[in-house]
Amino acid sequence: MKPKKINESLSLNSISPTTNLIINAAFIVYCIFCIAPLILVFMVSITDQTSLAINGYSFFPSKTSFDAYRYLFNDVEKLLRSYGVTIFTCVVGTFFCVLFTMLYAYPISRKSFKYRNFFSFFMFFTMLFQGGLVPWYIMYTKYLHLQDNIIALIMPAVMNAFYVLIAKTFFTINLPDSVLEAARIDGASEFKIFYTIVIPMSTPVIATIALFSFLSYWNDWYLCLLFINDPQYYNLQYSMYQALRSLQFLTSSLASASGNTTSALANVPGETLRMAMAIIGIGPIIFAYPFFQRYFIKGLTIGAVKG
Amino acid sequence: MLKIKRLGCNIVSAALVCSALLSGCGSSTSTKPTDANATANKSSDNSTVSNLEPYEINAYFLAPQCKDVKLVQEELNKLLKKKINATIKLNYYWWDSYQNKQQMAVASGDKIDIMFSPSWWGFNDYVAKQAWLPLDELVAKHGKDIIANINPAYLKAPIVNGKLYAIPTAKDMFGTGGFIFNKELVDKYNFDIDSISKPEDIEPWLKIIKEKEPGIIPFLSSLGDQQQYLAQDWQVNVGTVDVPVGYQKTDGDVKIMNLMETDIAKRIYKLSRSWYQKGYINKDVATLQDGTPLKKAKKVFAWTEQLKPGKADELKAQFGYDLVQANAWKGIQYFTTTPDLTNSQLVIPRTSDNPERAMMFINLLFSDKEIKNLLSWGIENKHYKKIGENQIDFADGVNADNSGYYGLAQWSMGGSQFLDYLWASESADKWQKMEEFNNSAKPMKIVGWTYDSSNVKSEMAALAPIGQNQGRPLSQGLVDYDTQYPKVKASLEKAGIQKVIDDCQKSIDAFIAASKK
Repeated sequence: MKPKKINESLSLNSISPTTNLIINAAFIVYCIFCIAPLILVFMVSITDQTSLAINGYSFFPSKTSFDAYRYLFNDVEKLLRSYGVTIFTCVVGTFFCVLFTMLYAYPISRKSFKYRNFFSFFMFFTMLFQGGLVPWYIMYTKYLHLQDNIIALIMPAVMNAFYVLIAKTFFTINLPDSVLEAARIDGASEFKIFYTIVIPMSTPVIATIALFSFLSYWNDWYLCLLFINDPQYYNLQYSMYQALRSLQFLTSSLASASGNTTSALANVPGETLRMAMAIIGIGPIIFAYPFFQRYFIKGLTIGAVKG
Repeated sequence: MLKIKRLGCNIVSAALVCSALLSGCGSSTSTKPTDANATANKSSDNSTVSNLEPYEINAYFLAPQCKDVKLVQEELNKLLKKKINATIKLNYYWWDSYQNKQQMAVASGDKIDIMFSPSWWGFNDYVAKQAWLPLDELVAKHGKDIIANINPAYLKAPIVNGKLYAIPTAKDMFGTGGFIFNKELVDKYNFDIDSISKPEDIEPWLKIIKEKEPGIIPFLSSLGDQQQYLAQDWQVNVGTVDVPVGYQKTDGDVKIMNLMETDIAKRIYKLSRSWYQKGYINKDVATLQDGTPLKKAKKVFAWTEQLKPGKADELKAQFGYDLVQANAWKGIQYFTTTPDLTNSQLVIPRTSDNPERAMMFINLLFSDKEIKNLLSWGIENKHYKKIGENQIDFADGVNADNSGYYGLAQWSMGGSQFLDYLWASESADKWQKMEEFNNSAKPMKIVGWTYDSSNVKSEMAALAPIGQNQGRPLSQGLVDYDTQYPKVKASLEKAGIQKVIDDCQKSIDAFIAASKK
């Protein structure tokens, strides 16, 4: 096959300049819509609290002040600690989540595995029926004794039936039996096949699951709310959740029955501080996606069998 | 392949670094309960204590998780060991998580001895589930100081089916609806605070502020500051304020009605509307969640508040400038109702291993100044210092931001608030004033009656959003009562307000009939 001239192939596959312009413009507008709120949050976080109260939100604060950040970094130990908890759970949790998901999904995707239907159903069943919140809570606190333990922030989210299904589907579609057969004929053991053939071929699905689970660990505050009583194990999101939730509660009609909302509200972190918390919380995660992006693009073009 | 390996190495090393960081950050000040028990076993010289087994009281309070809770706990243990041979484990949860933690702890059957359980957080549901112990006998046996130091009306309120289920906090027995003003502006224009006898009286002031003080909001209203406070001296909701079903405060027979149609409600709605139209109320009233930043920035002249003696001083400590308070209504008879008396109370859950000891501890909160103030304000000369017989201020080098034990809601810590020290900004006669204030109110005939809405659950659930979405614009003055209310009424009737009113009336009549026996 002769390589086509570049110009020819370009003109065949390219779109007309007008369409190109329209599509580009649409995406530029879409991007602005996505980025603008982030910028606004940042701008509010560096606005002076008083001028914010008077003028409301603005992209160009009339008076800037870094008080909110100063206040946050005042208690730098607490901040670093919650960062540490969050990063630790993210890294360790994601690692185990990907590992277990792969180890579970790969066998049930293989036709040669006799009990694969049973195990697929076993996993799928948990998506339909759950034990309920209280029994689940009792299991973790009374039987596993994981209260106030960092494992309680990792364990509940390590296995996710949905991720297993994604991985299984990927394996059935993208792992041709012929490849595995070839490996076996060459004398590779099951584990050898898994590590040297399957894992390198499934970077896209690994990246997908890793990103999903990393994000869910990063954004998780609920486990913290349930299982953690000791402030030293609070993660980043939970500290933020506390401020927002207090505000929500204290401005609700339920709280007015206690008759003390004004004094309580005065102790809730102000608007600029909440925005500063959000910015600090977004921080590192913003860089996670571009990092995974490589694998998505590269991974999706991987093929192993010449069709 | 190499890439994957490198990634693996990175992950492992990152995990190691993180764990090292975390273990490095570990604080070494936490005390293990075991040492506490070990020392508790030493024989004490107090004879009444010596026949008590050592016991750890597990207590849940509505309080912020300050840095020094553990230190306060240790101090408290020293005192409690001497007095009732007990130690205590303080679980503090604040507005954001208390409800959730309480539900989980109760549902999972944790061993808890003392819990804060106010009526506005499902106290009656817990009683119906039999989560709390009836306390009558315990109070009679171990609660002498409680009975001596609490207004008898209090012990009539948390009664369900003839049994007492909670010990309320002795504090302000009711709240009056009224205003808080910025004192500086009041002085500047020589407004006479004492001349107010009804809410309409402050209108000329708002007018002056609007004309002469640009940039100042004459009257602030938001989700957190509601005009409903102005009607609270006259009427009470039986459920949450979102459901407009309730009764008038009166000496006579109690009649349940639609609270949106009472004369007083109409009056407040119309007043609110006229203020909004004249521009006295902030324009963003519909969306403003929290007016605190504006108050802190001194941009507000007045707002509504539920008042008690010394409220303005309490708020001053938080906003940092002088405020004055004024009741919206003068010369009317004040009443206390069940919700007023049960909005802060301690219960003993059924799971407690030693309810007697828990009751002894609650008893101490009513008699022991040292213990009560330790819980309310922290440790002397560490968190506060005495500046007078009964007055305190921040300890040297401590302020609101760096104090390790500050920002608690003293009213939620149980016991008798009259034992609390007073903060520097508060007037020395606060508690005497509070006493007079409490005596000025009459308990209603139906104190002790609480509405059990389980028969009309679905109607209540349907009414709440109507009250929230359509009722709120009325009270904020955004819409006109005469044109808008018929529409609201139609929705309320469709949602079954009459059924709720009838059911509630039946319940009241039954209560009154039973109490006459």
